[in-house]
Amino acid sequence: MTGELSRYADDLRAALNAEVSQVEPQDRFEWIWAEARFGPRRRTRRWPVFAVILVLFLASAVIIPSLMAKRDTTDPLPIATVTPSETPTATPTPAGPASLSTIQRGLPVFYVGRDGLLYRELRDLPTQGSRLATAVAAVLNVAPTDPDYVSYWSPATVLSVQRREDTLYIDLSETAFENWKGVLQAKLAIQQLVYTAASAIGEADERLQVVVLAEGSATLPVLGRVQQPWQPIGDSDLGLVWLDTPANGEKLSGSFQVSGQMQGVAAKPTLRITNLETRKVVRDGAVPVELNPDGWKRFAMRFGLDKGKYEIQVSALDASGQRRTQQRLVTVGDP
Amino acid sequence: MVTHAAEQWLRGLYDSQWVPTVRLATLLLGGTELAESIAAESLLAVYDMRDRLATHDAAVATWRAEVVRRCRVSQRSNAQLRRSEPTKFMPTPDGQEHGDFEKFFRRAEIIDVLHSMAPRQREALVLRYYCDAAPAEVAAELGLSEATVVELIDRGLRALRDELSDRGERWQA
Repeated sequence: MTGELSRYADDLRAALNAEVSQVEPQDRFEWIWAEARFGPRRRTRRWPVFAVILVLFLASAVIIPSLMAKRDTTDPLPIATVTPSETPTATPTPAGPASLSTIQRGLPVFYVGRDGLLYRELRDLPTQGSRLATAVAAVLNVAPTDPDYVSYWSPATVLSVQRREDTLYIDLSETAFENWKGVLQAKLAIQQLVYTAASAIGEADERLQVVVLAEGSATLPVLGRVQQPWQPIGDSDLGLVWLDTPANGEKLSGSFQVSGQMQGVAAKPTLRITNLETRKVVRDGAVPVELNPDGWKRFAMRFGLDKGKYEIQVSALDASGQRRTQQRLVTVGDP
Repeated sequence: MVTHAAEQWLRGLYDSQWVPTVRLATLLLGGTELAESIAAESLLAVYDMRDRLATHDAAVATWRAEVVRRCRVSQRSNAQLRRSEPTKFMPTPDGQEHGDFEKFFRRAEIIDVLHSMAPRQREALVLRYYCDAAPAEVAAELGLSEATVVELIDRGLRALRDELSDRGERWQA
């Protein structure tokens, strides 16, 4: 380059820097991260958890053929309407068998853990017309039993839940969105709803989509007029270990079961039970797991313990070698 | 957890390059309106391919290349609209001395000439003289040979000189 052209190169450099020196972009990291986690590019095609649920559902359908027959139809589900007075509340496990018409048992409700990942609690809840409507109302209105979990939804009314082919349309009252303080929270809340709704209907079909409406409008608080529908996000945003039973705070008899699931990548799972009154570790060891066809691992162990208050911890190593732990505080009473 | 590592990776790239990348998009587009969106969408594209990017520098280069590509597509689709719009200059700061005005208008002319160039030439010049990328890096990001990039830059500077000369070189010191 000649000396003359070098001068123009210097002038150009100065002009370019001066041109944009006053451009100060907004901080958009939260939006970018939310998109990175939940955007369409990151929708995985794997549904391991719901594949298991589908198997269970199909098994139950053999026993209850009418349920299966209804599920096989292509007609839209009837609109389920939940009035505010029907807001479900957490129901303690009854001592005796309850009527299937009034209680939905073992309904998975998804919450956000401290690590920003999704975890589920299996709840027994009063029926709100259908299992799906009950689940949707629960994710809005039922607080988690585990203090490490949060919900980014606020108490609200489910105006309607409707299914058309592979898409669920969930219409919520405005108050549902009052807890949304940012894009990331909003999208985590959406995923809570998507997973809860999908698991409630035992839907393993990866084509399932969810459209969320705010009193009939597709323009949502915080997110604005976003591209819908939503789909489940995949394993990377689910908790490594799901501890299904016992529930946090549950009062148990002398013999009880610790059960749950963990992702396929989970390694070296261990369990530890500590007596909170004596601070002694009463059980400590490896957790035997069975591999599900979908790649997740399930576990179930039965224990008999003396009366007292206990902390149950199940942990495993994630893909990066970091140990992830879930815990429950329980009280063991008389057998 | 994979998610935590991914967030750290994204945060590191964002913190180091968000402002210069938005500014790069601003220069290529000739305005700020779409610059942030293009920079953000480009970063998401880079995030998707992070497993194939061995180093931070590789990620930065890929992000820049993606911004250049998306700006070009955006400009192509808005070419007709853009031709009818006047060039937007930066506002003149208050209280400037006479010499500052001369510099200001000379820089405005340079930017104006830059935006009259063919997209490839403009991109090569911006990457070379705003991002301080070496010709080999510019070549990699534009998908051209290094010799082609050197030629583009040389011709671009000559075009800049000739155009400013035609306009009278009124601000030449």
